[in-house]
Formats: sequence, structure tokens, C-alpha cells
Amino acid sequence: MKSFTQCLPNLVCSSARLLVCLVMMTGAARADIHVDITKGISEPIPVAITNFASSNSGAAQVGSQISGVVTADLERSGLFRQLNPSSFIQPADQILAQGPRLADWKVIGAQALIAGTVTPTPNGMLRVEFRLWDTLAGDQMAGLAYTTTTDNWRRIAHKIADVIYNRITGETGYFDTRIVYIAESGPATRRIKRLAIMDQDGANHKFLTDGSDLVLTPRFNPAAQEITFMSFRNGRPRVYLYNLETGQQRIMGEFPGMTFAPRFTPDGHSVIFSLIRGGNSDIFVMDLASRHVRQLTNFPAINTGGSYSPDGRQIAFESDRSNKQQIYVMDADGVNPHRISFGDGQYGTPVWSPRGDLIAFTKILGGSFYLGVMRPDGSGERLITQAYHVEGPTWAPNGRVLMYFKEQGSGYKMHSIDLTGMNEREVVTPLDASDPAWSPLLP
Amino acid sequence: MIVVADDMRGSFATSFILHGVIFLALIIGLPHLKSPPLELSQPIAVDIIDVGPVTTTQVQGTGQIAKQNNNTPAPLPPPPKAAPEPAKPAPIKEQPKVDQRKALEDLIGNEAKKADKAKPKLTPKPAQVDPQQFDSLLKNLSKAQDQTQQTNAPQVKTAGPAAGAPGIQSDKLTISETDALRRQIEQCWNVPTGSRNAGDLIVEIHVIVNPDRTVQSADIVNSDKMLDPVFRAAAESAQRAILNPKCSPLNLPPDRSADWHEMTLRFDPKDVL
Repeated sequence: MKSFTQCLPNLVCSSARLLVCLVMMTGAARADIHVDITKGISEPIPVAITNFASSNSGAAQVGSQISGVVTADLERSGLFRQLNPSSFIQPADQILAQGPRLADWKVIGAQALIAGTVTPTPNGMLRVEFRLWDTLAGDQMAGLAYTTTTDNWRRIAHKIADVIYNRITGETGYFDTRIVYIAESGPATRRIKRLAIMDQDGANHKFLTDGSDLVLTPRFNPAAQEITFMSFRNGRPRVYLYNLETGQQRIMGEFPGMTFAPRFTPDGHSVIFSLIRGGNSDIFVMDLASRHVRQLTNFPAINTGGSYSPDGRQIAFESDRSNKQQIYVMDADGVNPHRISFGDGQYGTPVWSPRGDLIAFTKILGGSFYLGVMRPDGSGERLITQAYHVEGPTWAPNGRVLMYFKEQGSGYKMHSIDLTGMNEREVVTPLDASDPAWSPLLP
Repeated sequence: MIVVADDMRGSFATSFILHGVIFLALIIGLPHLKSPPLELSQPIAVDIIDVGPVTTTQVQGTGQIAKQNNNTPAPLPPPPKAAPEPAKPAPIKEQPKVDQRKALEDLIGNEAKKADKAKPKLTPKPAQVDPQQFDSLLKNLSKAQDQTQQTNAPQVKTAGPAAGAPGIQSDKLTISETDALRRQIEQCWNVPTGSRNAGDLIVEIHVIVNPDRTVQSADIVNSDKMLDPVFRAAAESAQRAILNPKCSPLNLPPDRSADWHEMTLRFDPKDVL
């Protein structure tokens, strides 16, 4: 008979084998159920945005206004839906003081909770603090504080909305931005067109020109608060530069012909534009510092509407060199032009997304205008809106939302639309509006 | 000594003869006793196998074979253990049906056959594709694109079951049970449609489920990508789908909690983009 000590190694070995088997079985069991979810829904995320609380009555009023602007920004994006405040189950001042009862907020359907406070500082400033919670996961997703002057509360609200948007969608926000556009008034025979600027939500509207000269196609510098536009000042159509911080205007350059369709390069140091010379239209680029001009296209056809890719390596433009207006892409030095649009109809006004993944365009097909997007190689074309006349697409700086104008009744109105084709809505302006240009995020 | 009377002896003989006649009548008169023995039909083997690894539910009506996802090849379902192929019906079993049909046709006669031929043949109408049923969550007004989408629509539709075939890898849940769970989660998943490269934002969530079918934890498996804010947002949207009260408790068989205590859900949005 074997002694216990003789049996011990075998016992240990057997136990080890058993343990290995159990571990393997456990691992197998863990990997047993795999389910692919390949469909879903697309609807606004329900959020609860409480009034920003304050013990000071004046600051409390600002807090209420801030939460109102944050709510409007997020709802206008089409990605968020504010729950009815009457269903809120915890007073705003308690949320930050005692912590949110996330389980209760979850019960009323909130997937995110936003709460904040507004506190006057001894030096007459306001300290605005906010926090964002994921009610389902039970985590705080963001928490920031800003100190600013009282009259700057709207920008603080936009910045808070940007942070919330960024944290939940992963995309950079676009609420702290401005729109420059052409405000139109008067009869069709004596149309008055003025440069106008406003916040992206329509607030702080003002006119930049008095309407004495016809102005067209304003475009924002992606890297600065500066615009370029075309004006018929003194009867001569030329491209101008307008510094929004100083109010200074200057002619981009004197050229022997009509210059039009200006647009900044991504770094803001140069302007690409079209020049009609000898009955031919070609694309040029001018370095704003050195005034050096370089010709990019040289083809006996209409070549215009140049728009740089965000990395500055390629340019999309429109041309009728194939006897039909189509979209082409060429390298930044003008070589390797190749057509990317091959569908029915005529394509025009290509605008490269700041994200780089899409090119917006307009299309004329069957007597209607369409606004569409396609990938830079021409694939994945989608037409996202249609009207009797649609023109002038411009991207939000995050490349997620497009603004454009379309003919509506007797005049033009600007609209915005998500690149998915959803959430199309009118951008309210005091007068008729055309040719919008979206600014970069404000510094 | 027992003495039997003569008349009693005669009755005994008569009874014997009558019983003999009845016995003969039974043998001769009842035909079933002479009928050949019944032919027992050939037994058809039926194998009861677990249908969990493969599904064809959503392939019905499309007439197409579910295609596997090229981008994300999933392992093939394991072959059934020692499960013989279902026995094919023996040819001799088919023959009587043909004979019966032939006899029936003979009985009905040529007139009936002519009447059958005179009836207009019903040709299957092309399936009307409801634009609302498109799986894509992206708007597209282009008619040409719509036609392309209609052509591709069955592929998209089969993407569910096709994805189900490779995607449902379970020897714990049946296909119906897994489909019920998937349909439930799909109603709670807000797909990040407009994100950059949204089609590549594939998220895996490891879920631990309480015995009452509520979610105990939902952890992002590929958390190494969480530094990318776009992926993080996509991962959190998948996590919210699982934690959404609308999807609680999970559609799982209540009496088999040991089978579904842990699972991995893989959220792949490319079929709806």
C-alpha cells in the first residue's frame, strides 16, 4: 500500500488538472453568448438641463438664461431633447450641493443630467460652474467652471453647450460660432444686398456694410476672425478682405479681369479665387503676405469654385471641361486633376468638409436643385435636401452640420441640416438671407 | 361405472360437428386472417439538434442566402456533435405519392386538367419595398440611389440574420431567444450615425446579468480605443442601450439564468449607414 506522501504528488497533479479544466470551462462559458447588434434607432438623446442655480437673484436670472441658451443649442442640433422641466425630481440647488440622485433621474427618462451654478465674484465677474452626468452609467462625464463678465453670459452658455455636445457625441461643438451672410431687401429690380453677421443662433445680429455696393459670396477665414467677399464697389467686381476685429477692409489685389469665388486656404494665409481672362475662367491662389499669385488651372473651360481639403493637400473645384458641369479634385499645386462626380445632372459649388471625409455640393437634376454630400473619391453620393433653388453650402467647423440658402416664396432663406439629412430647419434672420459662411470656433 | 345414454351420445356428436363447422367458417370466411402481414413503413430518422448556432429566420421571404459579413468574419458555427445528417426520405416512399397523384388525375379526367391549364398562372409579384423599411438611418433623396438601395435592401435585411448566423454563437440560447434579445437591444441603441467613420465604430460590451434579468454590469471590451473621443461616444451609446430602462429586464428565458449570466454584445452600425 502506498503511503500518503507517495500519493501526494499524484493528488496535486490531479487537482491541478481539474483546476485547469475548470478554468477552461469557465472561459468557454464566458465566451458562449455573443450577439451582434446591427440595427438601431436614431433619435435625440433625452437630457435634463436644470436652471443654473444661484443664491443671488440677479445671478439666478442669468443662470436661467444660460440654461435656456444651452438647451436651445443642444435641441437645435437635433441630437438632444430636453425633458419637461416639470418632471424634474430634484431641485437644481440640491444637485450640486448634495449630489444628484441619478437613479431618480433615470426613472424619468433622462440619459444625461446637466446642472450648474452662477456665483457673483467680489470683482464683479460671474463664476459659472456646470457638471454633466451620465445617469445610466452613473458617472460624471464633465465638470468645468468659467469666470467672465456678466454681459458675456451667452458665449459662456455656448461654450458649455459645446462641451456637452463634444462629451456625448465625440465631435467638436459648433455653438460658439458666428454666421456671416448676405442680407437682402428691396424689390428684385433694385435689390439691396448687405453683409451681415450674427451668432449661429441668430443673436447679436448686425450689418457690416450699408448696402450701397453689391456684395456676394462672403467666406470665413478658417483660422481667424476675417472674411473675404466679392464686391462691385465702383462698378468693378473684386475680391475684398474684411478683418472683423478691426473693421478694416482691403482689396485682395488688382487683376486684369473679374475676380470671384474667393475662399481661404485652411491655414488662412492664402486665398484661392477665380479670374476671368480672355473669356476663360481659371483658378488662382494668392499668398496674402507676399501677394504672390500662382495659377492652378489652365484649361479652356470654366474652372471655378475651388475649395481646399482641410490638410491643404487637395482642391475640389467645378469645371465644364467635359462639356458638363462636374466636380473635380486636383493636388494643391494644380496637377493630377480628376473628375469625381459621375451621376446624372450638373454638379457645382463643392465645399470640402472641415472633417475631411465629405465634400458638399449642389446638383441640378430634372429641373430641381439638390444639396448633397459625397466622399472625396466621389463615392457614397447622398442628396439630403431639394428645392426649386438651393445654393451656397457651408460647413459648421466640426463638419457635422451644413448651412445653405434656398428660394422660399419670393425670397431666400437660410437653412441648416445635419449631414445625415435629418433635422433640417430654417435659420431665422430679420431679412431675406443668402450665401451663409460659418465661422471657426471663437477663441 | 358410468353409462352414457344413446341420445346423449348423439347430442355430443352434433355439438362436435357444429363447432367444427364454425371453426372452418372462421378460417375460410374471415379474409383478414388470410391477408398478408402489414408492411411496416421505413422509419425516418429525426435528429433533434440545437439550433442556437445558426439562424435563418430573417432570410425568409428574401429568397437569398444570408451572406456573411466580409469585414468582420465571425467563426463558423461548430459542427453538431455526432449528429448524423437527417435521413433523406427513401425513394420508395415518394413513389406512392406519384401513383396517388396519377390515379387522382385519371379520376378527375382530362377536363379537369384542361380547366387547370386554362387558369391564369399566378406569377409572384415583385416585392414592394417600403422606403420606411430601409435599414439605413441616413437620408438620401437620389432616386438612383434609392434603386440601388432597393436592390441592396435584401442584403441589408439579411445582414441581421446573416449577422445572426455568425453573430449568434451560443449553445445556451436558441435562435428565437437570441433574436428576441437582439430585437430588444436594437430598440434602445441610438446609433451614432453622423460620426466620422461611423461604420468602423464597432463596440463590444461584456454584460453580466442578474438572475432577475436586470443588467449588473456592462463593460466596454475594446476599451483601448477609449482615448478617441468619437469611439468613446460610440462605446457609451452602446453601453446606454444596454443600461436603458426601456430594455430592462432583458428578454431572456427567466428560468435559465445560469445560461445567460454573462454575454458579449457586439454593436456594429455599418449596415444602417
